[in-house]
Amino acid sequence: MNYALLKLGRALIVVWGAFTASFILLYLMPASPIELLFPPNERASIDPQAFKEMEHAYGFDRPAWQQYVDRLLAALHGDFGTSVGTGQPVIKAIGEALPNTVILAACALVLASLFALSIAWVATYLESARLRNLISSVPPLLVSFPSFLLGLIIIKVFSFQLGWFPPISGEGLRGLVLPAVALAIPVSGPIAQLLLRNFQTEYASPYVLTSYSKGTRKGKVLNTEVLRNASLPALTQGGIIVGELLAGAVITETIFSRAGIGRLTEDAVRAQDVPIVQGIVMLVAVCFVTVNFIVDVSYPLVDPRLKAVSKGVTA
Amino acid sequence: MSLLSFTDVSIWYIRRGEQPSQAVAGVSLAVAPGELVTIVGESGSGKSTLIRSAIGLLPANSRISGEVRLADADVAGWSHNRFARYRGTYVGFIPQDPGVSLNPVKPIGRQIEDALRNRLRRHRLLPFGNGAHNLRIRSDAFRFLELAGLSAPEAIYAKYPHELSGGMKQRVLIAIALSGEPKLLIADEPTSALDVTVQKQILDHLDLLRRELGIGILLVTHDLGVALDRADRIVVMRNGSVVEEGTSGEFLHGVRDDYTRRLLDAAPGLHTGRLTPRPIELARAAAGEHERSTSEYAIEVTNVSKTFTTRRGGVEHSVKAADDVSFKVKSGTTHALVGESGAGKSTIARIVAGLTAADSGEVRLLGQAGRWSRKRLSRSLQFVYQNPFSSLDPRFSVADLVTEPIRVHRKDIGRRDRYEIALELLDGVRLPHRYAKHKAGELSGGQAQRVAIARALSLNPEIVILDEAVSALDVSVQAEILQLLADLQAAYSLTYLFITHDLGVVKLLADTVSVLRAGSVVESADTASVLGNPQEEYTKLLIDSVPGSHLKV
Amino acid sequence: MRLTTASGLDALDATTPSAPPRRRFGVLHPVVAQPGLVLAVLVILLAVAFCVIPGVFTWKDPYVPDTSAILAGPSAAQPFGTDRLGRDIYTRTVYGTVITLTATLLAVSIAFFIGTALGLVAGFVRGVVDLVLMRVVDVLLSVPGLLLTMVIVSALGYGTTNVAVAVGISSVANFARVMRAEVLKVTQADFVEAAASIGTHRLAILLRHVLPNSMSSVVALIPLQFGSSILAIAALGFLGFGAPPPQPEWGLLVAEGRDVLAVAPWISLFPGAVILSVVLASNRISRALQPERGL
Repeated sequence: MNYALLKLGRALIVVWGAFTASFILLYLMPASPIELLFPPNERASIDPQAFKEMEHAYGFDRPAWQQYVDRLLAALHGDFGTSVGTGQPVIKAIGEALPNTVILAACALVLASLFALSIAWVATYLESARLRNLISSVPPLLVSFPSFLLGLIIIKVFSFQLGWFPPISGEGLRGLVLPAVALAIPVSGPIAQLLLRNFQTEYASPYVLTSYSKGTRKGKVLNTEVLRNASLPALTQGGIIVGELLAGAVITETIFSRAGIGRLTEDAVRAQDVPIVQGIVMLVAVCFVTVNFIVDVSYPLVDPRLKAVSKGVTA
Repeated sequence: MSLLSFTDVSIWYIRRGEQPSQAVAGVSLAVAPGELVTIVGESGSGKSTLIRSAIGLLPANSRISGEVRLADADVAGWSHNRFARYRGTYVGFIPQDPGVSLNPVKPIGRQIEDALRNRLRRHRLLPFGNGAHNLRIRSDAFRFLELAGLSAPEAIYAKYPHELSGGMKQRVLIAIALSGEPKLLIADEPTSALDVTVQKQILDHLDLLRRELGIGILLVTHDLGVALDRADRIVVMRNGSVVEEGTSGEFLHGVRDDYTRRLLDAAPGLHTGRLTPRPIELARAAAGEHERSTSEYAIEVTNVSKTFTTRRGGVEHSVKAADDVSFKVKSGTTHALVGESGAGKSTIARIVAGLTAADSGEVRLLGQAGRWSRKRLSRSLQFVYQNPFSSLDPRFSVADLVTEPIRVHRKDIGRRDRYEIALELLDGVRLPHRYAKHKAGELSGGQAQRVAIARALSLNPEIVILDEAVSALDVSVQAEILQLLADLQAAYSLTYLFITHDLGVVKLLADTVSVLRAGSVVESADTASVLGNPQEEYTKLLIDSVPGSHLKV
Repeated sequence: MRLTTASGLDALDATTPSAPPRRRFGVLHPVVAQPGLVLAVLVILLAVAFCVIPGVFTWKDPYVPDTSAILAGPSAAQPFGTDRLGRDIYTRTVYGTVITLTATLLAVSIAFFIGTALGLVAGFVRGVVDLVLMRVVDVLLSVPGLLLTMVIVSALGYGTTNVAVAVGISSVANFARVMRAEVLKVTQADFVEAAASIGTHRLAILLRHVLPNSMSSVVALIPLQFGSSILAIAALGFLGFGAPPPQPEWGLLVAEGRDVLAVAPWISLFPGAVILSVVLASNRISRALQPERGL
């Protein structure tokens, strides 16, 4: 239990750190945060007197630490302020956008994992060096592919040329297919690279020889011995992968004009809607630490080697 | 009719952009039922490559020619899946390092049942989800674990590999190899990673299986002693070819091949007396002379204890690495600390060298107790590590490596002078000058260890601590380094504290010896009396376990 | 343990008679046998040449509209086609290289120097310093690169330099983590203990032994980060947070073709392909620099 508490403490520190960093960045760094409260094109026309009053009303004339404490306490109650653009509470704006993105990200995650796993499995299974090298070169290609270009190509081919799916993602499954694929492919790149490397290291382990010497066929050796040992370490990347999905959603949702967290982020950054941006940062940081916490705590349950050791070890 | 025969087998490894390298060159060899054939060779001899071709486990970048015949089929170059029906049932395989040869995340029972299921499935004897069948498989698993010498299979059935000792893991692997009831066992250095006493038990057990079950065994080893003790036939390989073949008796009554002769001479277990030092051309005292101490004992260790504490699952586990250890080493002599893994011998060496602090007790060096500064200590005492590649910075040239201590201690000696000194030091360890500009990574294990020794001598110390300094080397190289150590000791009147697990090596170099077990000294006296007339049961067991120790050349 | 044999299927018992596997940089080693690597180096050299002497590769002007060739497809005269204003996409791509690559260089430098320093200090000093620095790295990691970059841009304002700084900061964590891991590994090595045992000063150990031996993995990370920074900067440009419109920044070029994707796909595709090849090339070089590992 000590171990779980330790991990929980670390998770909380990271969330707090993310809040503090985003506060410094978003509220203290700009010359005048009040300016950011207006859409960029209206700033020139602000009356200086009104400006001062606004500053006072928002409390920006108070010492920085006081503002910080106030915002932190509010944030603890789930209050990240209101959107400058729409006047909506941040938490509500995010809550409305979230389900769309969760569906998209979940589909993309499934697709990406299956795709990455297949690449790693096939590349290890093949005996022919030429074919193996060919498959092994797919993950680096995926990693190098600009995700925005990929989205455009997918629209061009599947909407404009073939007309199979709508270019603009509306409601329903048909509209989900293209964005999910466009999001899954770039995300699968790093996963595939990791899995491929793990498959190859594990496949080179002596216990694989032992398994072969029992008369096991290659496919079964991969499934029963290598698969588990090679894919478990990928779980530790869970937090980063979820982050990649949310970040990828910015591009994907923009290209496919799909409502969601990504679009919200893009709009908020464009309008310099500081409260929304901070709310999204906190959302992402909380997702990251939650996933990592779950992985950390459950990992000893799936890897017997850690059962005894992990507790109390502070690494 | 032989179980396995190699006829003119050659194996190459190909790498893109490089010349194919030949690992095995035209080897012919056969194993008959009930026969124990050993292949002896040093690293790079191609012995492992050869036997892997008999079980179809060569890496994908290998190419094979010739004939490898198992029963009635020529299996050379078969794919994994084609080979699958021979593995386990006809030929069983015992791998080299039990520590990594079991799947770490599967219970032991499952790993042996996998083998049993494979076999039943192949004979179409396995219906789906039949409880009675599962019970039968489980009792079979118990039977084979017992056959491999594990007396309480129920206790380890649900355990994971990391919960077992090395010897137990090797027995599990033997059980797996036996589970297909093969006619032939191939064992690739099955005991090299194990302690001698465990090695003896495992080898005895293999011998027993051979006699009782009548299976043929092809055993690969780097230890000629192991081969001489047990083999019906010995095959010596070097650089991919067979250089000599014969029975153990023939080998002991004179061998034809020079290389075999050298191996035989180098085998530590066969040695009788201490090495006689050869004269060495004395290099100028490297970093200037300093007062030699006059005390009778160079090292006096009194009641030293050290406990390591680790926390596991919230419970503190403590291991006594040294428990009230005392011994004395006379100046100019060699004292060996010998013991199996976990005996605490390295801990004691590190305490003497000042690399680890003792919990209690006293270490007097050169008659002086108390704290020594790092610089002062390193002028009188140097430490040589087991693995020269990790103890030498890979980015430094050999010349810089051996003079590194001088650079730190003597700021007044310039770069050019240091290079001169480096060459003299290389002379001392008999390493040609042309290696001075090489990096450590470009040297062989033996050459690198010479560099490490030269570095240790650069400050002209009085005490050198050698922590398993030869155990990672091939026997023939090991013999050269040991001779060198003997020569240097005579030339520079050095005191050695020599840590080893190998009693054969002790005989060659040590004047006195302490036998350690679980952190305490079992027996301590001069080498001849400890080895010739051991007083303690444990010492007797150790001596008895050394392969080839009963043989007379 | 024996020093000279590897284990498992890849054990090449015989190919290395006595020398252990050497740590070496792949590029120095038979280059001809790796045509992919040669190609990658050529691509990077070409991109650098685009930056330094763009006039050699095209005689047109990247900014001047040409009403006679609006939305013209690829041809001998305009290899990448033209855009809505009749500007030559090839010329714009060549001239845009310097914008994207300078920003990338800035981003990678920031990430490299800050990240390496953090990792070195955390790994060598250990203790509380390590604990604090690693939590900072955790915070940086908790927000994925693109989002973090956008947040920083929304604080600093738009523009290529700000985007570059933002991308740099968001990749600090990568360098810090790799460097720390390497430093921890190297400080465990016997030769570091040996150096300490002869009384070498701690700082001398750091500079002579630890730093040189831990750099190779970090150096291999540079081209990798170079590739991902290009992607990040282009993505920000694509979203419109980078260089302002008339400039031919690569991401912006792709974005400009977005509305006419149905009729003039070349406007997006060709600059996109250029981005892809440069990123692929730098990843390939990174793989070659990787100290003996993986494929």
